[in-house]
Amino acid sequence: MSSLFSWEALIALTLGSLFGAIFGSIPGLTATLALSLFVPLALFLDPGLVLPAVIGISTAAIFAGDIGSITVKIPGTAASAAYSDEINRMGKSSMGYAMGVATLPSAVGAIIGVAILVAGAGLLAGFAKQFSSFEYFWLSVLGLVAGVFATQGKLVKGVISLLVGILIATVGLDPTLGYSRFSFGSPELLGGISYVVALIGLFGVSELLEQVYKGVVKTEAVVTDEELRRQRRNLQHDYWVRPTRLMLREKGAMVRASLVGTGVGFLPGAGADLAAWLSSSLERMGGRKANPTPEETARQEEVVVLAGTASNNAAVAGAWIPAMALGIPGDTLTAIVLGVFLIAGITPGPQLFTENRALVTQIYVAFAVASVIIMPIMGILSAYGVGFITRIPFKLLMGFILGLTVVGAYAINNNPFDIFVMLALGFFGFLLKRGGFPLAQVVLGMVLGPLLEQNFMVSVIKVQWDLASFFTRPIALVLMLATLLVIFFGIRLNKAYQKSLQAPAAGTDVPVGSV
Amino acid sequence: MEQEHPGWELALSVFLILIGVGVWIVSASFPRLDDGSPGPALFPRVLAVGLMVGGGVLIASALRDLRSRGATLPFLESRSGMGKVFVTLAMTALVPFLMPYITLVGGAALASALFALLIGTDLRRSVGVGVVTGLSIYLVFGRLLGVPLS
Repeated sequence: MSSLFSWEALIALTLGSLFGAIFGSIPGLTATLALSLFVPLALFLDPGLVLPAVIGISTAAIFAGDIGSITVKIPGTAASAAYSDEINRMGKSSMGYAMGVATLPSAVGAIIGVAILVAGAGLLAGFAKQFSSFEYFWLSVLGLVAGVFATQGKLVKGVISLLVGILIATVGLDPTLGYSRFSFGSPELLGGISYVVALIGLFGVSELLEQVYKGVVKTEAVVTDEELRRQRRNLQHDYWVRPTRLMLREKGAMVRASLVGTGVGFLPGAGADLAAWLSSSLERMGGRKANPTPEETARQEEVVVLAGTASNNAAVAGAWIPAMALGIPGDTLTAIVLGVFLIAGITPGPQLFTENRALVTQIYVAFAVASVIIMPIMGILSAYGVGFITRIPFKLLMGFILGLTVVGAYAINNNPFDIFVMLALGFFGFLLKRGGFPLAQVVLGMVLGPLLEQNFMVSVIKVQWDLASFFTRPIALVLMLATLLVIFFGIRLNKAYQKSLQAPAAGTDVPVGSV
Repeated sequence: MEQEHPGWELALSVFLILIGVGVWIVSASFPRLDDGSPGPALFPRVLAVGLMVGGGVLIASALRDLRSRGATLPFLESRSGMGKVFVTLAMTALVPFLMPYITLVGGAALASALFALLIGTDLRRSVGVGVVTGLSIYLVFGRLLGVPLS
């Protein structure tokens, strides 16, 4: 097997990152799809090349999910939907800065995740074993509650959006009996509704319908020539210096998000999506102030994005802990990675750390190289590419996006039926938008709903409906108390926010990134 | 930021309540677990109640807002806008039916061109949008990334 430190391995890592970045940036193409398409190729490659390529794909695809949010407000991943509005507003002010905040905190978050991976993979994997369905249930509740209170003063609408999302997730086979719910005899709905299709419909199609409805589609490009020249002049500064300053200024949020990301990532079944939602929701709640000035609003939005991007890439590294130490996949990506491990002749498990220590070290290093060197380079190249996209006249871009949404929805399962699902959800998203309901909470419900239901049902069946069992296990109790704390502070913050609305408006529609 | 309008809020709240009622009715036929406890119906029913209660709360506030602001029902605000929304949905929904004849790439390109025309782009540019979309999808998705397109 070739060493992961060879030139060939470095090239595999770079090409894998590029492949992952392209997939992550196009709505509808996911990191999972990128890895799935890579698997047949992996069969014919040297294992020493397969592993760096896989690491590159999974690292780059998650960060690149933000590119769609920045350019056209269609998140490439469910994780990046957690802060899509905020990062899109940042992009309007400075593409370089938005890309920088998408990339550099991701890199640092991933490094913190890798550091924890190095320091305590065995220990953390042991801790993960303590998580039963009760703990997962409370973790899901915590994520959902934090998501509800993250809605700016729209608690009822936030809850309804969340319920709608969970309801959409109940379509298909139920987790207890495998009974088909709400599929109405359609075999296409038996497997449920893919949340990537939902993302494209809710964010992409609904936006197109909104523009059509309002009839005020702009003819000109998103960014003027003069503005683009200004952004190009400042691109290096906006991309490297300002996000670095932001990370130094908000180091507390940075560390919190990275720890939450790694922690959530290493729990089997949780993954980057929950990590991003949890971190950004908590920062959104914690940083909310009564009567915020435009600068304070902008500053808070920066922290929300920073937390989300740091957390999701920390989770990517974190998800490898149970994969390597226990052979348990942390998310879909690592499930495929385990398959690739086996193809490469590597058996994951505790013995990997004793019998193949060199390989484990090489994996850590490959993660670090992908995060610290390759991801930032991909980011700056993307920033130039994003600048090009903004020069396309808006009307033409809208037409192009419609074509892209159609193919994106189809490509997930190669199923034309998904185009109908996308359109139905797009229209529903348009109606929700018109009624002032937050769309992001629908996606949150779709991501966490199945986790919530499955773990609740497994738990109650295990204890024969003795609900007191939900409050007796120590870790479950800690998570429940954390949920109560979020509710307590959430209600207080919401009251303060409502009061601030009654006071003279300070105005919030300002460009982000003015600090 | 999302547009808010009490008329839309009212219409949507009624719709959500109807969804809640529908979910409640459909889930009545779901089986129970062997020991007689609720199974697949439990979550949908909880969600249905949530939607009905939440919808009810919002209807009350939307009606208050409507009275105080004297606003009209939403769909009457922009009939042509709603018409264009439905045309967009209909022409995109045609793509799967056209796939056997003009492939997915052709269908997506056609939908792009028609959509560009619908939002006021001139014919020449709309055709251009369709061609560029079709070519991009074919080259990037089909050739470069190897995504199966048929």
